Amino acid sequence: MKAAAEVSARAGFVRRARVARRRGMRTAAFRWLVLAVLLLLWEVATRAAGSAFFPTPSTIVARMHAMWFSGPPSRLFLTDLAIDNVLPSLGRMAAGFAGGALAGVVLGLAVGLSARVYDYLDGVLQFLRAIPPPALITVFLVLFGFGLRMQLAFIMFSILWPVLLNTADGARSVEPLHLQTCQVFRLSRTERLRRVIIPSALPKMFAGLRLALSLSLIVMVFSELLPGTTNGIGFQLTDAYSMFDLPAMWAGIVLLGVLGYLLNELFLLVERRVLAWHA
Amino acid sequence: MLEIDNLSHVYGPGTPNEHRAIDGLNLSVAAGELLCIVGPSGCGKSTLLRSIAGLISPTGGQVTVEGNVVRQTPDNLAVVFQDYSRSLFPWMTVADNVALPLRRKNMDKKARREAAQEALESVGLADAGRKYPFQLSGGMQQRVAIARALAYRPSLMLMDEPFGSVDAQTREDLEDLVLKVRGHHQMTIVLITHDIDESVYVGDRVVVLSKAPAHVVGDLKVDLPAPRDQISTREHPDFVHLRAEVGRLVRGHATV
Amino acid sequence: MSAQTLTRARPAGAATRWSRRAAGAVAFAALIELLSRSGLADREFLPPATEIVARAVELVSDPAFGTHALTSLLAWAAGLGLATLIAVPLGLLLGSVPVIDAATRSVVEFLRPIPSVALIPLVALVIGTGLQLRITLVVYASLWPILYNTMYGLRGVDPLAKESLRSYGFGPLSVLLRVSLPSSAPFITTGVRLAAGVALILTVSTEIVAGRGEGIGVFIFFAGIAVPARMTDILAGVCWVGLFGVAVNALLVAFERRAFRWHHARLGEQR
Repeated sequence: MKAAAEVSARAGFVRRARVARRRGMRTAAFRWLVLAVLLLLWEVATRAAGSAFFPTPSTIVARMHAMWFSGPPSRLFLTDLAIDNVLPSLGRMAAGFAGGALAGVVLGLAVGLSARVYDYLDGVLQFLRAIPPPALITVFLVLFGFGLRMQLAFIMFSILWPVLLNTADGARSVEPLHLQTCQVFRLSRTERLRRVIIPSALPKMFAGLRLALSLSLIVMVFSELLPGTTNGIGFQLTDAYSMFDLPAMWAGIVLLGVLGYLLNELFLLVERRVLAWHA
Repeated sequence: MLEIDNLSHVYGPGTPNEHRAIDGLNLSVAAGELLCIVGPSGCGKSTLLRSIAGLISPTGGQVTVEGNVVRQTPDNLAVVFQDYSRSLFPWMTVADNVALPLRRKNMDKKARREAAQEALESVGLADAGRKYPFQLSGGMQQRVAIARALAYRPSLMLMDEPFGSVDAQTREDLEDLVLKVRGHHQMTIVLITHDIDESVYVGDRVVVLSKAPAHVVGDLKVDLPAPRDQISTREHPDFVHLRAEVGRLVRGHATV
Repeated sequence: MSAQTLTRARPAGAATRWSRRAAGAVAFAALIELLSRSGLADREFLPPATEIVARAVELVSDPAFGTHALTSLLAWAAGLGLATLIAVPLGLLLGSVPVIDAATRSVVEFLRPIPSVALIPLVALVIGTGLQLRITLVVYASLWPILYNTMYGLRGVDPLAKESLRSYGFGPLSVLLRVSLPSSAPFITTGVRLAAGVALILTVSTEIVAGRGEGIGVFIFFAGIAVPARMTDILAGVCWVGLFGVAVNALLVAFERRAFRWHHARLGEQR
């Protein structure tokens, strides 16, 4: 009967959650409305000012459309410029992120599994993380020359440390009682790693990965801003800079903002699925 | 079944914060017995339990389970910890939590799932398998921890203050649950508690420990009519007498 | 087996940990030295650790390097300081007035994901490439972590503490200053600590992309594009930047621990 009382309490909880969700939808609608109003204000203000530095949002959107999204339907409306610049940027970022994240997770688990190893490497790793990645760009230029290899290595190196340190931290802070439970039920080493240590490390691992995601966008753009790059969104930005083409620069910035937003939302979607238990 | 022979344990020997938790403790438990160990807080009850479970190596003496000296956690031994919220794995569903230890038992997936379901049914949580621990109340979570131990079909089940973190009503329900399941499963249970009433109500036998360093100061047989009942057993003259006896033993050594 | 769990459960003391950290750092340097001296790594690319350290020490008394370092430090500190001055009041405002929060949330959500380095060319065109460019970008990038942490901290303020003060007749402003601000201070400090790292990245990035004037990034960049590249100079410069980052982080962590002991006492035990 006690269980029944608990179930009905749960039902109340669900009902309240539903009300909260409805209220959430209303705030979302309000936010979009506000956004639309602000866009309108931006349009009016830039039109009134007529400054070359601040093109109207409609100009920016029109330029984005013309540059990237006015291609044939068979290519998902992507133009040649989009295929030559946006896709390579995204590809580099995705490959760099995947490589750096994988290496960071594996090395982080290896470091975090032993308190002793962690203690020895902690100082060095903190130092390596504290180095702003762009400071090392010239090292990568000297090692790899300009080009894809350099960019990939640079992105991977940049995001390796936050992922590694967060994963190690997560693997280290497994609840002692969980480990004792493993021992009591005589779980094997691999089972302990797979079913207990890795899941315990996941929340911190994801915190590191989220940092890494926004960092990889930054370093991707940074690597494309350097002289010697031949394509990419960052390259288009410098190109527009040298031609004094302000609408194109704004278009690049807006595109990067939208991409950053979408990537973050995608990441949150995955995180919510994987960490559903982590209330 | 379980023999504890001159067991001693010292934490941090030779350091300034040296702590002698157990000193020359002898105890033997027969198969099928439900033994309650009761003692003042901080008396080394948990150290004793962890030594039996092979989670720590005692600094002196030895523990024998079914004739084998304990060096690591013995086969067929399960532990229910006090802190259910930290001993259940929050990232697994309730059914997965219960089925996890069965991976060591050469059972296929279907058999594991069935065994888990059966154990959940025996603790009254037949419908909770797909939920996550955080979706359950504290008492329900501790039921899951008990189900996990039951599914493992241990011959010796250790319970470390298993009802210390739940409210009074739930506590009584869980005490009755232990009495019920021990009737169905043939196993020896060692239950550690600081609650005198609980030790007498649940146990076939109550062992009273001194304050640290712990040794046995009393060993009483509990002969109360079965089945036990929260109301009538607790007003039974023998119960009242025994709890007074245990209380005197605990208190007599709690204050110097 | 059981002995293993015991060592795991009992973490090593602070002294042991520090000596291990030091040993790890020495071993790391020795590894670089070995790789370089043995010829396993090309010496042009990876100079021996002793040479890097020697150069780093030498740079301290080099007035040209001093100017570079001070210029970067100025941009970093000014940017971070300004960002704090803007983000904390803004965070308090957004965090305590739900209507303003709802109205601006969408703007914030769309501004934040813009990778700050992408703004370098535009801002350079609008305001030029001097110190103002670096400071502007550092401010922009550091704003978000501080803003978010301030708002996050405000959300965690105990309503009971606010109500008890209100019941004594205090107005909303003094509740904000006496309860909300102090109890979100640990979160604000965390935000500043995160922002300090981001600010360092932006300082160096802007210096490298703009590529002229003074600054540690400029120093590193020119050492890199020289033929042959002056690898020892680059790594010596990177050493100083890295040490600076570690020092700032450690200082802020120590400050958090010291100033907000009550906060850690409250959060420390659970987890």
